[in-house]
Amino acid sequence: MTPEERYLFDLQGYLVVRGALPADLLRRLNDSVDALEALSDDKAAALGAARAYPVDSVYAQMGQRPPGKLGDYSCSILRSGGPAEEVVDLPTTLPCIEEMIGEPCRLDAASFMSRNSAGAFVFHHGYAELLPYSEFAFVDGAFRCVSVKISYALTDVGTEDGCLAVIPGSHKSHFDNPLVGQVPDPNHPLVQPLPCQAGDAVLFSEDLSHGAVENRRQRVRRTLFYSYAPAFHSAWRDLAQVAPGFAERANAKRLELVQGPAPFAGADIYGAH
Amino acid sequence: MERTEHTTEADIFDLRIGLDEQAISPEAKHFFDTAGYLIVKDLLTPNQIRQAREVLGRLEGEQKEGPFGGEILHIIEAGGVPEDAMALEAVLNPVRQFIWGQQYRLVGSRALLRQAGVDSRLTQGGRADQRGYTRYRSFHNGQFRCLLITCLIALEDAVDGDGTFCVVPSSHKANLPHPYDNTQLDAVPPLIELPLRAGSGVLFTENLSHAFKTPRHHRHHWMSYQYGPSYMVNWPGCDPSATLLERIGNDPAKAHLLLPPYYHPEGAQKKKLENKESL
Repeated sequence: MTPEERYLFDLQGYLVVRGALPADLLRRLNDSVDALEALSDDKAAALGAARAYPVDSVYAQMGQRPPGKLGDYSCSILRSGGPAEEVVDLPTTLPCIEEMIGEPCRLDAASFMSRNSAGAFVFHHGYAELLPYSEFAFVDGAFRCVSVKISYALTDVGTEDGCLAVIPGSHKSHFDNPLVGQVPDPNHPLVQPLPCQAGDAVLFSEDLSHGAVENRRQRVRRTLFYSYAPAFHSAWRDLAQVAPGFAERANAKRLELVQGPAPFAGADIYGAH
Repeated sequence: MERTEHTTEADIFDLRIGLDEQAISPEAKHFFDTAGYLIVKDLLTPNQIRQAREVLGRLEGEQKEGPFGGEILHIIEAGGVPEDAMALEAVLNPVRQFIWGQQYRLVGSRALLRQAGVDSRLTQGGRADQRGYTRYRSFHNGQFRCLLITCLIALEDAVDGDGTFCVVPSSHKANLPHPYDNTQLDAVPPLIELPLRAGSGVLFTENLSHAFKTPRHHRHHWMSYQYGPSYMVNWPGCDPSATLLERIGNDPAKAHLLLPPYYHPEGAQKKKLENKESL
């Protein structure tokens, strides 16, 4: 990370990396999503990409299902293999993740999310919530965050398309977020919508209050979410499970990130920074 | 700015963390936060102590070298007192307080077999400790979010410098590395002994600098149980077997401790019913 990137991540709780996904990879990712979306729910599930439709979700405001198309959904993305595996150790983002976490880390979740017109995601999290698994921390000149997520835009997503929205600085707030549970209002003085071009990435501490503004247009928002944590964290349910043959295909770094490094190794009980 | 009432995260999302289900005294919370440990007396009866030593005796072949001398990993698998002692309410009550409500689990268990010889080294602890999983956090509103917490139970008297467990009180909040890496324990001014009679224990944050004095004559046995938040994975070598999980299946406290790692309980993160209309 550059000094400016460090400053901005500490200050705001997020970092935008423009063009994080190379054009070719972006195209292949969208092709693979197209192929999965051409399958029935049952066939997608058989490939490990079971669709979860956010009915009765606490967090999601459901979009309108276009005729003949899929409604809002999310799915595990690594279980069906394909180019999503290449995103695990992307050189444009992984070095930042490793610096933000500051110790041996692992991938604890990878998912794909599709949001239609009228879809949104309510604000959640913030430092004051004191979720131990999401803590933003900076110790002795280094980041020690325990959960950093990456939102990769697979489509252009402007504010009107329901982009990610955050409350900059909320990763350090000691007071409950009064906007919790609300769809982010892009005009609120605390709210920062983060419009992206396809291929851009937003890296953010899970302690940052975040959500997605309402998609007011007809364009579907496609997003990949990859989540990283220290090695002693478990995976989120089945969201870090991979496709058969992954161990043979993956390079050493990718394999270590998915399997997790030794969880309690790397520092002895007598050592100091 | 106009003062208004507003909802909080806890009003909106029913995460079922169980932060309200804790009951330890303000004095105990203050002591633990200040000193980094709590003494928990009389956890085991003399008969249980004898049984525990018998079980550990049968496991001696599994002994390996650990940071404090000989150790046997995953003693709960053997059953009996080593299994029962993982779920002592006198221990779990503060564990719930110091970790994260109901979202705690047993990360690992071991026996320490300490021979007469030399004192152990003093662990690092505090802010300088490189081990992120020992993180200690507490807040002005009385809440804690500790990661690894250890309950150490003596199976012989460890008093008067004879194999005593020692700590540097408040070192979990030290900003600097301790300067005693090559110092005899007796020459570490802030180090204190925590005399423990057989069957008593001490609960401490792993972020506290600690050490053992050498037993003078006989080998000392300790049982050590390490608790962490619900999403922390098992210590290598401490995965419960199917046999153990079946054996403890009808014991709610043990079954809770041995749940696979999770971030939120099954069925949590639903909208609170009373808020359905207002959201």
